[in-house]
Amino acid sequence: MKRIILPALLFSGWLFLLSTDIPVGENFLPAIGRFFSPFQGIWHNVHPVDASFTIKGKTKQPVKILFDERDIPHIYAQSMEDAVYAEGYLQAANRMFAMDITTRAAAGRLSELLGKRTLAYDQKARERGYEKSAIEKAKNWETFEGNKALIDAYVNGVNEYINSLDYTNWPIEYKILSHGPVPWTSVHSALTFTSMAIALCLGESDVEYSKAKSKLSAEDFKLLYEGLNPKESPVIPSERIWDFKPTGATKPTEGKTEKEAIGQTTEDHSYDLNGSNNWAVSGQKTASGFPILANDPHLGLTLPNIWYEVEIHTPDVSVHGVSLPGLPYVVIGFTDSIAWGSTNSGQDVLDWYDISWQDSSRHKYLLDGKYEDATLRPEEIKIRGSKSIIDTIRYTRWGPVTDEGDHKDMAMKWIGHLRSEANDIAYLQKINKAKNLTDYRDAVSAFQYPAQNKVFASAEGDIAISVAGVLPIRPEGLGQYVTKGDSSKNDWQGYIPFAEAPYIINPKRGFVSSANQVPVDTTYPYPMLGAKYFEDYRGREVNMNLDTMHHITVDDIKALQQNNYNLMAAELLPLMLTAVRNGNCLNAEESKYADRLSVWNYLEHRDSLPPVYYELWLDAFEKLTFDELDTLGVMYPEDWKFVELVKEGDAHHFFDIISTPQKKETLNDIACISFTTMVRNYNALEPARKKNWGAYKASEIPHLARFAPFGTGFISTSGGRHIINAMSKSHGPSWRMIVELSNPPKAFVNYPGGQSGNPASPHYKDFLEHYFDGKYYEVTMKKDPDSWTPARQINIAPL
Amino acid sequence: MKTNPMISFLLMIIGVTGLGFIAPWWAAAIWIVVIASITRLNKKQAILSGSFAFGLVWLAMALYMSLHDDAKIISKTGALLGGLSTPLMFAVTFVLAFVTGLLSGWLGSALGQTFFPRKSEIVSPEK
Repeated sequence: MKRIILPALLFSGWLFLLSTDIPVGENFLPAIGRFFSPFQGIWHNVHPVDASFTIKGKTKQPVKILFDERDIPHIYAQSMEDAVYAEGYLQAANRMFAMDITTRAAAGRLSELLGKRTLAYDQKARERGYEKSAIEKAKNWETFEGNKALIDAYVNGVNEYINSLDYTNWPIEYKILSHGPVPWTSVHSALTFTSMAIALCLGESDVEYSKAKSKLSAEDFKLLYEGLNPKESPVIPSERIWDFKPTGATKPTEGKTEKEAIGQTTEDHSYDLNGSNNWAVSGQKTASGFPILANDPHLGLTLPNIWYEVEIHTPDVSVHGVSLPGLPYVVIGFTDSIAWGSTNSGQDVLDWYDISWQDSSRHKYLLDGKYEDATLRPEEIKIRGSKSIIDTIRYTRWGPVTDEGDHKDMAMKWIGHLRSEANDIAYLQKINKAKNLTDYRDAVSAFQYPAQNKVFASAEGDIAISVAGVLPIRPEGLGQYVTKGDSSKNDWQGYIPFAEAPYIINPKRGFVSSANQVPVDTTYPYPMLGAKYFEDYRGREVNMNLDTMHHITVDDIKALQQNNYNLMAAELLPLMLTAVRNGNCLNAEESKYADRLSVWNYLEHRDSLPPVYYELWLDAFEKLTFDELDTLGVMYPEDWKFVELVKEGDAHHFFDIISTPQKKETLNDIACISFTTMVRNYNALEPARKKNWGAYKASEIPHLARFAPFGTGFISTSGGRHIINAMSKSHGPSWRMIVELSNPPKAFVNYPGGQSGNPASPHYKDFLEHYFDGKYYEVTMKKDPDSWTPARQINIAPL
Repeated sequence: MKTNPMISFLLMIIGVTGLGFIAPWWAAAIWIVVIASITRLNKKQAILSGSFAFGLVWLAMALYMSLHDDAKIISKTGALLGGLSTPLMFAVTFVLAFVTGLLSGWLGSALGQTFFPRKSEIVSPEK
């Protein structure tokens, strides 16, 4: 027996070692036995799985899914339940890891998969109560007639795919993380809603405004932060007459708080860039006589893309567009008689309330002169490879109270938490089968949040745009700053009734449009908050172009979607150049740079060099101008305010550099110093980045989980901030769609990525080259499955 | 059962290959233990057979799978795992299988010699 002991120990120890995930720093090395097995592990994932097959599913009738050459599925079903079952299956088969990560991030459950490194992120999500409201939302969805069967069908479709998985066919990300997907529930779908709402409506600058107000003089604060851009061209043109008086708003008895937040702002403001463009032109302005609708939502770009393109046919519905994996239906698209699209409205729908606790136990808080109990909710955060931790979240009248840096002891009142009783699914149900203007207005009346500019065009010739979503009515003066949480009178006073929310139908100018600018002018009876998140240039540029365009063709619209004209540069750069020339400070080399800038056409094309000079100069110019704000830790104003300051010149003390008290600098001095800085910074760039705008910007589309080899690496792209083609480093148009409402409608679409989430698939990123060359794929609906030959096919047979 | 070592080796290859498709990765190791023990291979024979059977099957299968690696998944995954090149990914795969086979063969041989000893290995109590 003795001879067995040593080999037995070594054998079992070796198998144990190869079957165990090994922590390496903050990561985990997957159990390498199965991982390296060529039968089951990573070697197995080199095969794309885009194939034809038949599955047995929980559908009532057989479902056919035909894929075209781009791998777009065309679902043919006899009911919407069967269609969304198939859609759930397809989304999961192509985006399972993305769906999982997205919902984990919203729920605060990333650490269960990724370990300690995401703990801070999870704690923030838990403190903000996203999962709690998603659970309530999912429960409530089922109470609406018809919803339960529909959601169950979708969830079953997703789980059909998950249940088909064993380790061998796990998506590659799961193998690398050595952790498989968990069963899908309606709460996951609700979290998908929440995730999009977080991305689009967390305009939480209350603390920053409060900080600015407390640290700057009243005059400076007004100069930098108050008012709307007088040049702005609102979403709803001024021809719209508002023939109603606002209801609900009353003056509060309690004043606003201007609490000085401690420390620097630590918020992640990546969502600042989440904008979009959309417009619709009437047949009077088009060459064909048919309306044309365009939309390009700007989001963080990843591989796989956030969207999954799909076409659905049932006896009641024929729709094509992009779906959001995790949710049924098409989110942006067209039917055989209408098209619709969305941009973010930028409304402030999140307020922070300063809580006065009774004592350090933080169990009771002051409200209306007495102490109320906070509801304590323990949250267990499971951490892979470590012990779980318990966070106790305190809920007040206003919402959950956070412990986060600048927001410590503040309660979060957010539209996403407040509308858990709403039927979010109704909007999607209605818009996917809308046939005309009446159906469209009925659909957008059901839309809850985040507030969106919903553009519309129909084959009947109508165009329209509506600011859809619930918009809070606040006591006058509240909402922009941190608000006192000790009085119920500081609470929101309802929502703007749908009929009174901004919209316009068939305007005289022959087009509707939006690009995240202010939705209405000052004649609108209700106050609209969101200044920091309104975009001041793209909307103007879109409207200026559409105003002057006639006999518009689809090619004109393609060109407009990819317009690289920087309107802000066109207004600012001549002022900057005048200042630097007046400063009479440039040497011979610097003058050459100025000469090149002075002949620039303001197009931020990837092959152009002046945009590099401009952006470097603007950066240095702004930093020197706002050195006071940097010193105080206060946010910069909106960009149009900076342009106004430069236009008004030396009247403002901001051009004086505070670190040189012995000298009072002027605008010209700032222009000269920053120009020298720009030339120095440009010369210090790596040679590869000096070449042109595309090289300098160095765009890339990363993998969703930041697995670098599965991203794109460097891509040379045109466009940028404040430009219609809003392509920045890794953020930009996530879907481009143009629909001509002919009979049948003809669409031109593309997105940066591909249909498959599998890096081994030829469809993982096959749209990229076309996309960055500005090309589109033409789409016409294929209503008859027998009229075309698919590239592959999946059949779902009822069990 | 005393078997030609070559037959044992072939049985191991067939088992490692077949079980690879239908069972967890470690099932092939158990197979080698069983074959090495019931065919009563000596220690040297068992270690050589087990390690090469396991190692070569995994290597051959990895080579076969890599023929379809148009998207360079293996080299990208290697890069994620601390910069392993594709040849190193092959090497790691082979070494893991080789050592697993080696230990399996050794254990199988020890079990065989204990529970199914050859006549020459039986020690008489009288002696």
